[in-house]
Amino acid sequence: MDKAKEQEKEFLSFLENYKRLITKISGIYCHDREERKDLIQEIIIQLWKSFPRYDNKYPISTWTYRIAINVSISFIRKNSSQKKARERYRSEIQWMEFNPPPRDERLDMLYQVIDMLKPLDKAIIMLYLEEHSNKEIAEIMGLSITNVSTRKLRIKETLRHHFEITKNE
Amino acid sequence: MEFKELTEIWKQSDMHQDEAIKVNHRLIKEVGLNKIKTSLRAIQWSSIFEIIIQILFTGFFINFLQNHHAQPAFSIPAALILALIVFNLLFEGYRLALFYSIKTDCQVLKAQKKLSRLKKLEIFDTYSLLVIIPVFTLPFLIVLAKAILNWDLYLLGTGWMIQTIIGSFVVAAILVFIIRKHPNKKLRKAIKFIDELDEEKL
Repeated sequence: MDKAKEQEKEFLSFLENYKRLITKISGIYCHDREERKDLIQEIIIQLWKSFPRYDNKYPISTWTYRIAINVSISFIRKNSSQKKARERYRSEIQWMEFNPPPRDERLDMLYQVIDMLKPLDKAIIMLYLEEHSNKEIAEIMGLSITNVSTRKLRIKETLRHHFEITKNE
Repeated sequence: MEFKELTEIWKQSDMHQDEAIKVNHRLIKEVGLNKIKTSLRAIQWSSIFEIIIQILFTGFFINFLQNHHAQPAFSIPAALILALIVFNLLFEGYRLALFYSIKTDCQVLKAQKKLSRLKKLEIFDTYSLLVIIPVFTLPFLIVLAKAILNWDLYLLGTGWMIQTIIGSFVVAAILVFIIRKHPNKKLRKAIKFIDELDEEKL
């Protein structure tokens, strides 16, 4: 098997392992179903482009988180050139199909309050909910460990506040 | 709601996700992966094209300066335009270097800062045209007429020059007024985001 085919095979098996992570990150940054499909494709494109350069001094999950979060933040900032590129793929390919099961009310509420956070805070809270340590979060985000813990406290406070408001509505 | 409870809710959402997500291996293999290889890089061709054009212009103006160095009426406008082109060359070079230095697998904060800087540079580039065009039109016309047709536009008198300069400033003033009245949303967003990132650094 030539090198390119081998790499494709590796990439597809990597996608199988990380498909949940990709859909989760896309879910916290994008709510519209069609837009979310676009975002997932954009993440896959960037993962594939960076795949040959993967540096194993970091765990592959750290690498995947960084790419998926970077792409998602850029996506929501509506870079026009990316939009054009996305349109090229939209009509012909649907790379990842997902039919998420109905979410319970509390989970919906959680997504709703996460959505009120700033883009970087969304990533931090998601990593926290995924039970990553402060050190891992700092590694992914490029923040200091102290900064991560300070931010986490602030985000938790904001979430608590948003929960109160959402509950009372 | 306690945070522990939130983590539990979040974890529960994972349970049925795997079956719900299907990766289209065949489509990705047959269509996607090959296409990606030739995709997004094309965006920067405009910058590369701009750099090539500017290098050609630099050669043209250096040559013109050599031939007319004893005639300040022509060498001064040419030197002005040359300085502008050199600045633009450096600017485009920096922008291109910044673009290629952005890797999506960088730490999130680092990558987003670079992206924001790139966005600001793009917007600055567009806006700078509003000043460059009116200010540099007259020297450009003088140099171009001399270089290509060997015409001395100074012989036409100063009336048209004054009109061009006044006209340019009026146009620039109107443009500045419009921009101030209707600030670019993208620029505001980019600046806001950079401020937000600066806050993160602490």
